[in-house]
Amino acid sequence: MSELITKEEQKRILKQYLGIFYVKPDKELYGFLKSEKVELKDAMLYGTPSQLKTVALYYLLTFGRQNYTHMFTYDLVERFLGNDEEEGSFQEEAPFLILYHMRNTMPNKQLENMVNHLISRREIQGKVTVMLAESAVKEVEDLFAFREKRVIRLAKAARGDDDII
Amino acid sequence: MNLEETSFLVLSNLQEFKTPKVLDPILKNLDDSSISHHRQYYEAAKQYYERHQEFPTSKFLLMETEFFTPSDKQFCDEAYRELVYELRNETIQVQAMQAISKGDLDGARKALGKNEKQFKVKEFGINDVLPAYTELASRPCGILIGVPEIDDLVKGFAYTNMTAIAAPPGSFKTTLMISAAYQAVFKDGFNFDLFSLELQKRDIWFNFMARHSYEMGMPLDAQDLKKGLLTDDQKDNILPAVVEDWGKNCRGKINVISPTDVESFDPHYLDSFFEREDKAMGGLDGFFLDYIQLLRFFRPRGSAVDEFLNDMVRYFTNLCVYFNERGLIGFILSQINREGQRKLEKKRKADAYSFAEINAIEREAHNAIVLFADESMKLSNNLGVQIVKNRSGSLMEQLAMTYVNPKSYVVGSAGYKNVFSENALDLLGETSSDDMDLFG
Repeated sequence: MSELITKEEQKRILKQYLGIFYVKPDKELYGFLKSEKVELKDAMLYGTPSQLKTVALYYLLTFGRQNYTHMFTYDLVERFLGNDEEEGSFQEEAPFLILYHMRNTMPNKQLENMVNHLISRREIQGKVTVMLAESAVKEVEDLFAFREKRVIRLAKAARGDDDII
Repeated sequence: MNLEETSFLVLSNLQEFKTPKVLDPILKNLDDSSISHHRQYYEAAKQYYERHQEFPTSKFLLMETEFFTPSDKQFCDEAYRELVYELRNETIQVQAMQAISKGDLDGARKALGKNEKQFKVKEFGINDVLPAYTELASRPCGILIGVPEIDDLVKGFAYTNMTAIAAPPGSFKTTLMISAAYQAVFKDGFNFDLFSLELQKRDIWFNFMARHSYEMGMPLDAQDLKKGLLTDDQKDNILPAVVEDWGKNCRGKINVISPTDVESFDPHYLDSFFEREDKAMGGLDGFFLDYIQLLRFFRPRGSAVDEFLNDMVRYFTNLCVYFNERGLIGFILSQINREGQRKLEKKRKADAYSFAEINAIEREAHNAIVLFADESMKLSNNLGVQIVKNRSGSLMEQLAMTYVNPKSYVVGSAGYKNVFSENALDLLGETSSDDMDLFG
């Protein structure tokens, strides 16, 4: 009996685990990610907010429970400016990090450098970082391409890109 | 043995006697002795015997006689413990002196709690290895606590090992203890003593009943049990069925012990206490102690808290190793210090240096487990567990999540990891927009 976890409990457990990614999945997109054999390793994906949340779901459910955390790219700037004392550095140290870049992120000249620095450092430490972006982050995209990581466009999210699925 | 010594012995073991006749020789000569004040105890004991056909405990006697004024009653417990401690020490010294006067040194050692066997080296050589292993493998070498995230790594909590379980207040220490005890006693048939310094025996048993009702598929909320809020159906039908089923199917024995059952936490007394428990239970396998910091209230007057608690940890560790050559499976629950709590809140990480006040725990424990749950985890059936010390294997780098159900005192579930799979997609597909509210 103790092996049985009720549906309500499962929902509560999943809510706590998935956080902002607790959403109805886009099953078609989920199937696409599976068919593409997108693996649990560094990758960058462009898409709409709902698509990107399904991508996160894919990462967080297909490979079993992940010891992960997520943060927005602008959080790095906030931390650099000393405005984010609460979370400390533990978010950046998680074995699996989902970095989310919103279309309306405030512009900052150093933002892309900071993201690249974080991703490179984590890669050396053997930690996995996935970048989910609603709009173009050119320097970061170049970094992924340079390191032969996958860059996948799910929608016309990045301005000027026609590579849409 | 003179009258004074005899009287001390009789009073401290009064409940062992079957007939009041044994008191007559003492009472006859009591008034002219230096212990004439003992008469009040004997008179009260005889009155009690007339009513109940048995002698009361020495503690009851002290409460009933006029030895204490009403204003002293609140100090009665402490005074009682000291008196018993003195009586016991005096008795031990008298026995030892008598033995020495007869030239019986072994008898003197025995009286002082040092059994002869402790003075002899028991040989164990290469020829003993194979028989020892055969004997060891013929029975379970320890228990599982029913938390796969921990059990898979530790591979069993063995005899001779003391395990420390630490957590901030309200992070499910007692819940894990009840869950582990249920697994070990009810399911796997081990015999355990459970020292509860925090909760009443009744509440511990209600917790067990909540857990057992859950296993039977008709869960009773532990809080409802403890507050008398069961429905009529639950009170008249379910609870009696749960109690009956426990009686019929429980494979092991559990003895819940409160501080009032233990006259002293003096090692000599505890040695004999555990020996008695071993005999009474037909073989004691282990103990739980909930929780070590509360022992501070039972220290001898004048002793330092830290020193006393560290000594108690060392005592229980040695007990685990040497008890009846078989050893015991020990679990000591502990609070963690503020620094450890802060680290858990900030970094979701614990270490073995977080045990509040008591250095001996981190040094002596074979395994150490830290639990943590913030408010969001508490509301969502998640509990963080981390093995921070494991002398027989690997540790966990960070907190791992496991299932907790505080209403039914369940920690750990084989089904927990299946929640994090593609099966969840169907569940998420069913959810309404209300469910998507993260604060719902």
